[in-house]
Amino acid sequence: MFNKKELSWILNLAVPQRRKLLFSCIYAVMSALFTLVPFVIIYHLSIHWLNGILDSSTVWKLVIYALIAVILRFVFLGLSSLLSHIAAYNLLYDIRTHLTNKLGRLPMGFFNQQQAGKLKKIVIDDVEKVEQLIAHHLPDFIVSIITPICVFVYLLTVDWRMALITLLPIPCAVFIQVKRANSGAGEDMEKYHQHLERMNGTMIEYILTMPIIKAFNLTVQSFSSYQNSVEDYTQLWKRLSRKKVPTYVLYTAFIESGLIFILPISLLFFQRGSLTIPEVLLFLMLGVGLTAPMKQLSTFSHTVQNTVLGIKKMNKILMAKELSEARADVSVIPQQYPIVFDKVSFSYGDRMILQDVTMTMKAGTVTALVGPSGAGKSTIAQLIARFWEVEKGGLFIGSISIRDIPQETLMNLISYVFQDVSMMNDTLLANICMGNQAASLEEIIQAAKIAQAHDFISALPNGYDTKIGHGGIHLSGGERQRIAIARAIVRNAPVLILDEATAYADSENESHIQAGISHLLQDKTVVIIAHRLSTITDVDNIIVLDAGRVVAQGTHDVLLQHCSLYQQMWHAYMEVDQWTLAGKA
Amino acid sequence: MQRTIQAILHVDRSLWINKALLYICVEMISSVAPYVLLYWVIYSLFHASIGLEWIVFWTIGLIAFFILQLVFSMLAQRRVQNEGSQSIQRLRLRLGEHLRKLPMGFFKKKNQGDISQALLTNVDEVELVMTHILPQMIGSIVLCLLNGLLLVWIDWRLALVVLISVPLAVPLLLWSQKVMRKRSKIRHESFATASGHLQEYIENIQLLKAYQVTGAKFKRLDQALARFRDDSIRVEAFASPILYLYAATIEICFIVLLLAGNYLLIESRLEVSIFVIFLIISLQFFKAFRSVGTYMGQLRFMVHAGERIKDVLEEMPLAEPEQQIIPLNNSITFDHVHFGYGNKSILKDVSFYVPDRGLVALVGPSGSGKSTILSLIVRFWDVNQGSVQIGNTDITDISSNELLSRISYVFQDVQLFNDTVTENILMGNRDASFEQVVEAAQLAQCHSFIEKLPHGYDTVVGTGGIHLSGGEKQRLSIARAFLKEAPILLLDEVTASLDSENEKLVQRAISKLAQKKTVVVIAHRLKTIQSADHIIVLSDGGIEEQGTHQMLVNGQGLYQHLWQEQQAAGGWKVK
Repeated sequence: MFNKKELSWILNLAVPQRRKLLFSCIYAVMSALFTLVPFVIIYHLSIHWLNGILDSSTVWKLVIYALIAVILRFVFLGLSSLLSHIAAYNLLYDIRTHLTNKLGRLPMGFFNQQQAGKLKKIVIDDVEKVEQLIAHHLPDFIVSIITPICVFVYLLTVDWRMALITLLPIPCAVFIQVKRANSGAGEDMEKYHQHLERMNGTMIEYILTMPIIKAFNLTVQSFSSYQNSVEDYTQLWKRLSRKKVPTYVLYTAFIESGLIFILPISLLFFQRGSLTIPEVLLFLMLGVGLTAPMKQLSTFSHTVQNTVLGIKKMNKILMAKELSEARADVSVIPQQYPIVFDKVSFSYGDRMILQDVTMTMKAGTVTALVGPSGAGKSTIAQLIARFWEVEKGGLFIGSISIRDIPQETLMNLISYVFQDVSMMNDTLLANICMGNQAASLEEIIQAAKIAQAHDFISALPNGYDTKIGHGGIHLSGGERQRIAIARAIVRNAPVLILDEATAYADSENESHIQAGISHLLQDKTVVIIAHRLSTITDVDNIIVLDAGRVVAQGTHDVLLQHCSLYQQMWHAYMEVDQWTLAGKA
Repeated sequence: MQRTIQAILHVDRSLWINKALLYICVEMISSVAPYVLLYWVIYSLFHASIGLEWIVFWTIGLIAFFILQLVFSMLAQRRVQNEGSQSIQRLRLRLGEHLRKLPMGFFKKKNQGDISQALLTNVDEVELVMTHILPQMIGSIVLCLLNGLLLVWIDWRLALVVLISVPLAVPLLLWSQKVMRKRSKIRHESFATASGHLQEYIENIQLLKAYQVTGAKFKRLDQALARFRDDSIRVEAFASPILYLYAATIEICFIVLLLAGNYLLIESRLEVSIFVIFLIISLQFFKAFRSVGTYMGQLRFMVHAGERIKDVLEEMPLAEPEQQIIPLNNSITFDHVHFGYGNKSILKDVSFYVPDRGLVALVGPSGSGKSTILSLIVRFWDVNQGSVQIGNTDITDISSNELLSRISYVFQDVQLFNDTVTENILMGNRDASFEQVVEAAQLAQCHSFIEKLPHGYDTVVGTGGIHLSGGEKQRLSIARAFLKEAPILLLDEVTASLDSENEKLVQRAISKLAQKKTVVVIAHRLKTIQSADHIIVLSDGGIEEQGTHQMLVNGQGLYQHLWQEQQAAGGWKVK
């Protein structure tokens, strides 16, 4: 099911909890033992009843023993369950921090392949399943195994023949279970989960696309996949339950069918004089329900399967390859900041993104990357920040391979303004401060002023302490972009990457943002990606990319004369710029 | 308890209960019957010698009851599974149909996670209640009653001792549930916080990595997870002891029964054989009683599910007109419209008129209410004051079928369904032929890229399928609009964030699509709408000014200011 490595991490995490778990098990066993006591007492009392020698002091003594046993039973059960829960939740916490730490060390590539929702589900839901197993099922399992064993052993000492008879329901139940397993229960389960997943997927899609559903007036019937998936699911459920009901009913009935075996046989033994009435009574009380806990075994195995599935998903995160850390002996800090790509190739899955890219972004100059969508512009920007690992070739900053620069140092060299501006659910101050934790309030305000963000921040009720995101205020795309620029100004790193930094700005904000950016550019190695070609006509060098290859480079004028792709892009841009939607008036 | 069942039954009244309940009763009677037999057996054991023929007779009796129990258990199960899953299916379809009739405000107000939870997890939970927990609980209650009656019949004095456990234990059970509810609520809050921070962490991982705040350095998440751990432990630590007290109370009653019985025995007011059978049957009673408690605990978790579903079903859908009016033309009128959600006012006293086949542009800073105006035209929301009219008819007097069939809405971010290209375009008009789909695709400039997809028009796109670029998705959504052929076209910043090549193709498609239609367009590049018939400039939810481009640009208002800024931005260069 797992190789050693895939399970060892969880066992290691469980080590601090092992004392709690051990005691939880011991207490569970104790409580199982005490369950037996009242019945033993009844057995002894019944001997007295039949002999007709019953005095109230014996009764009192035995009844008080029984009472103490009941109380102790529940005290131990409570302790066992408390310990198992504490251990389980501690373990869950450790697993979750283990997972989130690991996520922080993985290359960005990992996140593009996995949707955020899926990862969240693993860290929240799948981890929670481990709790079920440890906190509930571990003590329950022990109790439901140990109690029958204790009872059985005790019954053996009373009458071994009858003790064996009490076990008769087990072979019947096992026979039914085996038959069920052979009739393709595993495949059925798989099919059930497929149908369930399909139905859930369709429903989520239905909710997410609600504006379109409404705008196109699609009913549940005409959004056919919704109705189909629901009906298919119900059909399957009915079919499976028709198949399952007889065996399920037989199984649960046989598991509790002790009376059918015990009563006639004990009467036969009684009739032959080899069993006394108190013994008959004892077997009727303890023997009849002996096999009932077996019902729990099937839920237990179900939970184990569920947990195993969860752990497998966690392993997908934990076994993913991390970025290699620079070796301490070779790690160096570059003193100058030209960026050099030397025959770099990169693919994403089996899709080739960059092929044999060689180029230089000179220190202190502005280099623009242009090309049709899918040409690899953003990938280049991300490779510089080592969000992904270069597959072939080398990437150098100041003639040092970025693999030899410690991750932390590399990040300090780079300010990155992203196309989709992410904001933390925190104050504006904290969001700008991310750029440089050591920045003073004056520096932050100064940066906000340069980024043209100070005015709108000051107008907010709590100024720089205003919370944004969930539970806070909502910023427009342009405002977010200005915060991101302020963040980059505070950081003041020698390399600046601008990935479509003005794409989401609306007309009012755009010129503000541009003023902020102009200030940022001074004395830095700048890599800029822009759709509006007019903004980059004056940069030092333009690199034209197409389908992952460098097609041409040079200044705007040179490219306009010699590069046909650039000409084509420029003309498309001009046409777009002149387009108007004509009225009829 | 009653509320519990009501909350769930509310979901669907045509329940399996009627017939299944009968089956369950018969099943339980046949599972109790062997104990009546046992009474006879034990009495004979003490009072007479037992012949082999009697043993055979009793055994046959036992087996007969066992078979009876099996048969009725199967009948009940089959009924429950069939009817239960059928009514859950009806519930799922009803919820889906109900959701789409709700105003968009509902989807804004609630977060999408909550809505999908109502539709998925909560319905699953109700399904579990309907098909498992409720029938089992009913079975246990019936068993409890039958055994209780049997005990009273055998010896009412001892039965009193057994039955007293009910009023003693039930309050403890209820108390534990109350504590559990309170603690679970706290736990749920810290769960929501932790999962919110986790989402923030994963969604912003790029940013956090770029600024090295990953792992334990992202303190919020770590603290939230630790709090979640502590609150989870507290649920157990506070509620479990009471639950164990409840179980212990039941057991102690059994011990008290033992004591009372012995006293009656000593005083010869009770016969041993009666006491023996009483003890055995009382064990059955206590067992059934305990399982009622367990099922009640499980049911309580599900009540929330039922209530959340009820909440969704009780949301009022947009009212359909009693007498439908069919508008004569496709002009659009906003007559003193006020609109807001919650306490937030979005539109204030907006009035304008779009003539049939006219082209009106909405411009203004972000947040000024442009998109809201479009959503009011398709009636995603109802206005608070004033009216929106099409062809001089208030849209609340037009049936939603009629209204929506007149409008094509092209959104800024296009959502595709996880289905084939053909199916995605067919959304515009389900009755269209494949030829018409291809024609629409050609008009929308997407035929050529569709041809290049691995399976052409049968390629699956969307979340589970092949990835399309923003421009390609946009053109597909325009193909939908071509197929729909609606006389009114709403365009919401359709070319924002596209590269020039794609933007060019989208623009060409739109120019064709807009012909001979009433068009309302939102644009932030003023250049693109300078030849609109009429331009409405919005600011902060109100109309700042309106007129033609020439009029506005010669004025001294917001439009002139925006125009100047854009001209300046257009000339901006990186140096």
